[in-house]
Amino acid sequence: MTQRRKWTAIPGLVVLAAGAVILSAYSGASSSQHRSPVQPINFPHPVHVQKLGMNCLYCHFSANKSPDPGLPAVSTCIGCHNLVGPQRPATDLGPARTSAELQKLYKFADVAGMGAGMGPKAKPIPWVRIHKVPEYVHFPHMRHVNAGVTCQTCHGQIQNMDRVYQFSSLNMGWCVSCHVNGYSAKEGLEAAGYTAQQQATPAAAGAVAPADVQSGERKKARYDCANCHY
Amino acid sequence: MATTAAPSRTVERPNIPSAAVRFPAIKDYEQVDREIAGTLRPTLGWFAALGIAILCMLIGATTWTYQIHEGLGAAGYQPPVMWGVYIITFVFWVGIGHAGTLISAILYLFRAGFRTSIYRVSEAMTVFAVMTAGLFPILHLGRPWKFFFLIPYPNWRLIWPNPKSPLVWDVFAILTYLTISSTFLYIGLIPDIAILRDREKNPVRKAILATLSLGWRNSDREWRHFTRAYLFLAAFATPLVLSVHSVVSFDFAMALTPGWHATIFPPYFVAGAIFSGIGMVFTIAIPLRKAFKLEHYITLNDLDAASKLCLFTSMVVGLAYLTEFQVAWMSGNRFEQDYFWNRVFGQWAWAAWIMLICNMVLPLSLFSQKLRRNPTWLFILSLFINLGMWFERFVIVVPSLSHEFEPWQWGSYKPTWVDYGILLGSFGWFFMWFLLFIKQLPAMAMSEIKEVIPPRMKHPDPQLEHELDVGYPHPSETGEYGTA
Amino acid sequence: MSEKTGGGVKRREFLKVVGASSAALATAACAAEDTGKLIPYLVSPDQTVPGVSTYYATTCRECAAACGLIAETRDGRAIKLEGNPDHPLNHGALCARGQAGLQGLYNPDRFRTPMVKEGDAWKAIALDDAINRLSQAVAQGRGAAGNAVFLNQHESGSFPRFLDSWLAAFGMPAHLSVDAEADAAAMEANRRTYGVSWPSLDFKAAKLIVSFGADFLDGWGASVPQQLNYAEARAQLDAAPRFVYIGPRRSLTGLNADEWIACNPGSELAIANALAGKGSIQDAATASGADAAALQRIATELSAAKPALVLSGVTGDNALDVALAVAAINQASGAVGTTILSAQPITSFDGMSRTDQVLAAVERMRAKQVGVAFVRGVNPAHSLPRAAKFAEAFANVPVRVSFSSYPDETTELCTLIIPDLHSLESWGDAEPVRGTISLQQPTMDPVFAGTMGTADVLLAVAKKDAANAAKFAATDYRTWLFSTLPGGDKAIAAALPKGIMAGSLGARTTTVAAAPTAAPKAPAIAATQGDFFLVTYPSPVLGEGRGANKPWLQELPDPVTKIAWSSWVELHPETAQRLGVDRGDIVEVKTAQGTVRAPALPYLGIHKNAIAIPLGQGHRSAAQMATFQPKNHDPSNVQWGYGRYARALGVQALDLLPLGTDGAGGLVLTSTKASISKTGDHRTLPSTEGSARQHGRGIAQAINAADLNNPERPEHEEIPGDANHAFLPGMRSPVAADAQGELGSPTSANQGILKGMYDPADSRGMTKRRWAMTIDLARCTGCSACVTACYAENNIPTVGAYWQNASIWADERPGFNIERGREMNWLRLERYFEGNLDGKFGVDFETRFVPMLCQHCGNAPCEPVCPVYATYHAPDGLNVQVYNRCVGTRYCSNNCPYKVRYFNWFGYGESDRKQYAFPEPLNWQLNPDVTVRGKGVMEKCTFCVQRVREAENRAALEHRDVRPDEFTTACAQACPSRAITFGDAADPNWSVTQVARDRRAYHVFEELNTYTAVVYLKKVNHPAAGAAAPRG
Repeated sequence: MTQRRKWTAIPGLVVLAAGAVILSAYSGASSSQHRSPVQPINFPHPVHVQKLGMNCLYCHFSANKSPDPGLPAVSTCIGCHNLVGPQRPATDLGPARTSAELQKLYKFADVAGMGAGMGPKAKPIPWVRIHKVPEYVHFPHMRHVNAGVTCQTCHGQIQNMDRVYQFSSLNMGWCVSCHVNGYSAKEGLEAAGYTAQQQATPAAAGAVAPADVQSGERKKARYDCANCHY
Repeated sequence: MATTAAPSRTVERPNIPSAAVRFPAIKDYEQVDREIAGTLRPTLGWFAALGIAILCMLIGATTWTYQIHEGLGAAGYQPPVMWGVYIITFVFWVGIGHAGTLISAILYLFRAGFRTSIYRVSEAMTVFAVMTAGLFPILHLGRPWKFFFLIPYPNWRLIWPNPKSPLVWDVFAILTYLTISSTFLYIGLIPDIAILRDREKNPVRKAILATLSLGWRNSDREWRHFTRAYLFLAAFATPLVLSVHSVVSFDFAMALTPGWHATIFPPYFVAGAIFSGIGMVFTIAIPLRKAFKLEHYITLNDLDAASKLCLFTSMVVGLAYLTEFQVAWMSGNRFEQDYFWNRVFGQWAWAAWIMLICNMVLPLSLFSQKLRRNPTWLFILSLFINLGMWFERFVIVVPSLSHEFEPWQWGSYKPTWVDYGILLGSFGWFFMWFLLFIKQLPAMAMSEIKEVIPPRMKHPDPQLEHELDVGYPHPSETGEYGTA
Repeated sequence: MSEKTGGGVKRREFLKVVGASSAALATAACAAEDTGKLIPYLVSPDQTVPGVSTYYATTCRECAAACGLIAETRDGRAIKLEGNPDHPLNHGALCARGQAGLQGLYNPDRFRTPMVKEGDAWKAIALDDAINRLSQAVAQGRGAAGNAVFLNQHESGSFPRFLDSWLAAFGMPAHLSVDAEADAAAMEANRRTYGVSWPSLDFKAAKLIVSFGADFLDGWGASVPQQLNYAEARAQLDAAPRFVYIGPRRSLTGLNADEWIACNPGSELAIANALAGKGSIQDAATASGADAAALQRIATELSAAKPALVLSGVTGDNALDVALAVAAINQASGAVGTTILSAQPITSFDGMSRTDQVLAAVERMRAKQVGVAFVRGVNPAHSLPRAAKFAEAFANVPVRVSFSSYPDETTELCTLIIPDLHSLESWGDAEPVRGTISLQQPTMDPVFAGTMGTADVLLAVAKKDAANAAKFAATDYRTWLFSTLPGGDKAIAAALPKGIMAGSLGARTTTVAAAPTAAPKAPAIAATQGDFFLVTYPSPVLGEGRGANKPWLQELPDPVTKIAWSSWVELHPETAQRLGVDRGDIVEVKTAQGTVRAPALPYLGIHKNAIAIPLGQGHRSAAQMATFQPKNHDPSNVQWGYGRYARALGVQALDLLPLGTDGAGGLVLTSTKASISKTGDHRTLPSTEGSARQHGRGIAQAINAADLNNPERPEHEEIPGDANHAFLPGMRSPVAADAQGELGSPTSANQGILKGMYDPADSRGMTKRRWAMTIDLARCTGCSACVTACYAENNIPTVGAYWQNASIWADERPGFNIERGREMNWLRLERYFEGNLDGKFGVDFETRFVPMLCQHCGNAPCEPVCPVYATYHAPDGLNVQVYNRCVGTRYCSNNCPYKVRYFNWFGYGESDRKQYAFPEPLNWQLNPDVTVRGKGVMEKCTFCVQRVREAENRAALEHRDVRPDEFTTACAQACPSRAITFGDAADPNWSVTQVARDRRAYHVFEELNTYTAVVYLKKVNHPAAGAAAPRG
């Protein structure tokens, strides 16, 4: 009867194989989630957003009016950093020091020194792209931003990321599940890191209309293919 | 089912002709083992044939690689003819694959004796034909590397194939058919593998054969299980003969293209499939019986019987052809009528007439018993049948697409070397497997033949003695299936 | 992307966009990891938002008419040209050639830098160097008048004036303003009769339109405004004027006529006189071979029709006489002021030089009297008959300067090339109609840093010259232009957004006063030797040849013959049968001047005594052209001839013509007979035509004007009446219905709460909509502008170039893919003939044009058969094709009754392949909103879904719903006949809903229950009294 036992193994193997297939299918294998490349300049989002309280739209200026969120021009950086140079005095942001990152910025923008402005040899900063959907996907930022989807919902709490990484999988299933199940402003605020109390604050209101938060209604979106693929 | 118990003329047996009639020249089990196992010895001719097959297969593979790189434009497609040689060849091979199951399953259930000697060949043929056919749906895709979109499996796109599409039905039909027919083949092989295992000297081969034979020990119990399993599988496979090619025919019948959109397609395709299958059986079995000197196994009686089946299916197919015209004529559908006129008397007359002559006219010769019992003619005829059946699919696919509703988009079709290269490759692929098969495993079911042969007996039955001595039925034996 | 392309900030801008859009070229490949770089601006340009289009109003320079343009630019690059709705000439419409202006801008064969000829080799030089050389050349050239020749492309506006003042300052004679396509005779006659060179024509007011070979719909005069007006006239249905076309060949205009009088070339004068009552009908009939009865009938009609509109576009030696005779008829019928509005002249053609003036200049070159010659935007080496021996005359000029942007036959003969800017990159102006100035402004920075506007070059040269530095002090041409235009900077700044401003540049007379002495007169055609009259005509698409280097125009099938990427010889089927010539057999056409060999095309619309050859192809190079490698082609290796897309295409019919001018000094195009012989060779013609007959399938339906109001119809299919409106619900598709049923059923997982996107009560409410289209065949003239508009909007690849075939053992023939039916025209124009089935010579056959595109069926056959849902039904009624889901089974196309699905047989969209359809910088034009398809996927008309989404997004931003008629598709926008209406048929406020209820409305193949979203309106015929009614 040993032979018989030998062949009972087969169904087991089959089941294992099937399991493996299903597993690999569900794990968005092609996603570059959690990817966190080194940037030419280590731009500290926390300092600008958390400490200085800058709005995302200051640099990503077209996120609420264009499919393209907008990438700050070098002149935008220099606009402030003309006055805020590499030599940092002691402030509430920290003790006096020399900022290597700002020196890099000055090098790119060909700034001689504080207040000198951009020089003729200025070069654009070759930022490494992190969040990218394939070209056959059309993702209109403004539709989402204006629907009260906070940036953090998809990009994670950038305001706390010393080095930005890809927060979401950006898989189709990830998109679809939100379009199908809908999205409530409350979730958006939570994703953005607003605590229950903060959600009433004007800052929160800046992100989404308080009314939406109260109603807690789930906004749903079309999820047929041609909504994004054309 | 026959048992190994000592046969007696008086015992009621299923309508399986006595060995004396079926295989007058076969004396005993040893002879069977000797002769059939003997065919497994590789010969020079076999190596040559295999070499050619592999070469053709490689040509096909290279061509396909090139086509994938360049795009389908390398093939001869001329819109609106969006399907061409590949789909034609796909249907062709699926059709070939039908005779196997028919012969091994249906004829088995009907106890048709002549099946015994040819069913192994045709089953193997079936499996390899389906393996070949299965390549083409992928091969003709614009983006073959995305073929898995057609397979229903849970995925992070949260999207599934379209259950309405006949192409998805195809995927299931082909896979089912491949599974069943290969299982059927394997089960039938087990006792023979056991025989080979026992004869084998080389330990490695012996081990492999041992594993494959699933430890077959020829015990009574095993035979009982075996025969039940075999009967079950035969019953299971029978509906597939009808279903698979019906599904394939839906690829066309479900479209509204003139010439495709016809309810007659499923039976028409099934008949055509069996017809083409038997054609291919002849093409394979006749050279085989010569090369392996097995004329006394695949006897003229067998060929004669198979020819009758061939003749029958040919007439069914012919009826389908005529019915199509009649439907178009009586439908009063202008698109349909224009199309059929164009098919037979217009642009595509040459193809249509190749089809009609090869499939309808030539097989009528089988009304003559002389020709039915003439292997050479049967072989030649089978080649014509293969050609004709390929062109039947050509006539179905190309003329319809080239002459559809929109006259401004009427067109033509001319394959390029890429199409032919891949067509050649498919034959190479098929024969490569087949040739490998016939030298590894017996092309004829030893065990089943033995079921027909009486073993040596202590107290011989005089009549049987007489048969064995003269090697020809006793006068009292009447008719081909002479049983007392 | 190469550093060579563009410079400075724009290059980075370019990189930025390409960084995002380059991967768009790989729908097939999935690039998950390599996300590329994001290159920011150094300084953000004001008034542009990334990802949002900016629109500039400017002026079209593709022909002399100067229509108004709106150039759509995205991230600093022009991506689409549309007509300017406020423009007095084209009112928002735009022809195919206008659309293709973009491919002139981004032409891969454009000169990157100035070049100078040293020995036999061309050397690239810097701009300053080029300008220095030019000033030296001018220094040599100046002196006694007449020793310099400046051939400039004819254009209206300030530049010609600037140019003349510059030439005068350097003591050179005024320039020659050349337009090889213009009808000099008609203009001369207009000047003599109405006092203007081109009055605007009002077809609406006419009771009868008679055209003597005047192709006012395809190139004769200002086509677009004429077509707009003609379509309006025909849209009056039973009140519309009948249109009679008289000539040896039915052109596109001729095919639109209700009646054709086929006559021998040269006999038009006799007919005109007869119609005017100055001659006997019988003589006219004998001279012309036309049917006397028909002539008599027309004469009577004409005398009754007040006012009529009679036009002459005859190109024979007696062209002027015919034009004058015709003018007389018009005056008699009271046309002046009613149908011929000389009070509102089209001034674009004022000041055009005559061909005999050009020929005279050529003679002076031959006589070595010319020291320096300039060529800008004209190509006499190609557009003058070989008999003019231009090349050898030109060679006698020591200094030959070309300002051409592209390699062409004339430029190749020059010694110095200073590439001009494209009109979309430079400042300029035009005066298309009296009293309105149409402004031309740069829509983007130059594509190539090495190019410079000719006007600026001239200014720079002047600054280097002591005598003239002061006179040309303006820093650049823009400053000069603004200083001269009425109203000054403020007015201009105010006018720029609309692109037009009131004011006039003053009358402009022919620049060379003295009519030349030795102008060769053309012989009377009847006197020449040969069996057939030879008719040559400018191609409606390629013109006299200037369009040949633009793939869109090469790919666009000729509206009449439906042939692309080729030349052909038209002859009547009867003639062909007599000669034993089949379609595609190479025939040799022979005249005293030369021979050409081209494939024969039996064509019903040509007189049996005549053969016709189109102009436009046959560009060739004096230099031996090296085999062209499309992949990694080095731009510094100039594609002489006329660029890669005109390579080895067709024949130059002008080689057959004797050198002759008519009374008005215009070149005579029908001046000789020719003999024709079969060579035995054969060449399948690259044509998009399957069958020219619709076999009674009712695809293009028509109705007689008389029957419009008659309830009793002869044939069933002609019953006028409401189209089936069952197509309206946007969710008829089995797939759609199923999705609702399955999702909506209470037994489903969500208990039917979430009915999904097909739920009519769904919060997104998409099923309110049903995007639909109507096409009025009474308006459509078959001009094919919509086709090119579709190519431009949807990134459709052109596939006809000879290298766009497979690599191994594949034919390298131009148009090969089109021979095999692989053209990608999402919107195609079908041309069906009715009548003359026997192919015997006869004038009574009718032509019907049908724009055929995806019908967006409510019950689409393509949808259920797709195994992967790559095509499915969107809730707003669109039949959608999802490229990235498509695996390429092509089943959908097999099951499409309209055959409007197109497959990517090769990697036309993949930049690393030789079949790539958008070689740098053509890919700059690609529409960022539309995916570029990779190989192996199916594609088709999407009803411009990207425009739908754009409108929805805009509406959402403004917290409103999409407004009725807020946007439209590219084809509808371009259509110069206004035949196409697009919109939401489920909402009565959209105009499409009203049009769809027209009594002429019908669906194609309605019996198939496809519930198409495209509703056609029957063509309306005005047959001659007693003629048979058209069939289905």
